[in-house]
Amino acid sequence: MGKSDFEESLEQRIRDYTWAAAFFKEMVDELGKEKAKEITFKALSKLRKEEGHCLAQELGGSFEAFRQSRHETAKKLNTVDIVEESEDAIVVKIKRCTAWEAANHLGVPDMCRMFCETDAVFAEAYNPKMKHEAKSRCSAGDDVCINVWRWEDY
Amino acid sequence: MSQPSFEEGVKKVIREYTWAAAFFKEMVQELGKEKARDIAFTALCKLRVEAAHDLAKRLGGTFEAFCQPKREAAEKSEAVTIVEESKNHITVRVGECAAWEAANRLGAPDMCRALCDTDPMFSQAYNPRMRYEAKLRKSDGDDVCEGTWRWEE
Repeated sequence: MGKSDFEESLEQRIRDYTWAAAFFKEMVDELGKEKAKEITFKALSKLRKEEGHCLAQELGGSFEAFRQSRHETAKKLNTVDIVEESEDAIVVKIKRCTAWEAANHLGVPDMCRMFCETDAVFAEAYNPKMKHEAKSRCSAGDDVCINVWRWEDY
Repeated sequence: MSQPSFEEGVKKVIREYTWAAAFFKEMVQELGKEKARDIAFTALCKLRVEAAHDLAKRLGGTFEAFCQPKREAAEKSEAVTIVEESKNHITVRVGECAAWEAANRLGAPDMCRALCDTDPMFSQAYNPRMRYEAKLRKSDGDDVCEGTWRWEE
C-alpha cells in the first residue's frame, strides 16, 4: 500500500530536521539546555520571519489570501481541519503535527517547542495586522494543536 | 527514470540543510566561529558514523561493495571521475558537490567544511580497515573535490 500524504510529509520533515536535531542535541550537551534553546529560538525566529515575508510576497499579504492557503492545506491533509472562521479570524486544528512527530522521532521535543514559539513572529512578518494565538499545542502535551490567526484592523 | 539534475539535487539538499544552517550561523554569532565549528563537527561525526554503520550493514562492509556505487556514479555523471583504482584503493574526483553548493547558498560554507572533516570518521565507521584522505576540497577553495579511500589489510 502506498504512503499517505501525512506519512510522506512526516518523512520529509524528518529529513529536513535531521542535521538541525543533531546540532541542537550537541548544543544541549556542550552549552546546556537553556543556552541551546536560546540560540535555537533566535535562529528559528529569523527563518520564520523570512518565511512570513516570502509568503506575503507570494500571496499578496492579505488575510483573505492567508485564510485561503489554510483551506488548501486542510483540503490536502486530512490531519488538518478548519474549526471556526469569520471575516477576521480563522481557527485551525492540527490533529497530527508533522513538526512535533518528527522532532520527537529525532529525540528533540524542545526544538519543536522553540519552533512553536516562533508562530507569532511568522504572523507579524506576514503582516503586522496578523496575530497568532495557540489555544493548544501538541508540544505542550495537548492532543492537538489549535492555532488562532486573527486580523486586527486599527 | 531520468536522473535528477544537479540543480534539483542542490534544492533537495538546501531543504535538508536550512534549519541546520540557521542554527550554525546563530552559533557563530553567539559563540564564535571556532566553537560553532566544534559543535557542528561533533554533531556531524555522530550522524555520519551512524550513516556509515547503516551503509556497512546494507552493503556487507566490504571494499568492493563500497567502490561499486562510485563506479556507477562515474558512469552516470560527467561530474564524477574515477581517477585511479586498484584492489585496495580508489581515487574519486567530483566536479559538482551539492553539499558545498547548498551550504554556500545558505551562507554557511564552514558548515560544509565541518562535514568534509568527518569523511575519515565515516570511512573508519564503515569498516575499521578503510581510510580516507582528501587531496582537494571545494570547501578549501579547490575547483574540485578529490580523495582516496584505501583498504588496509
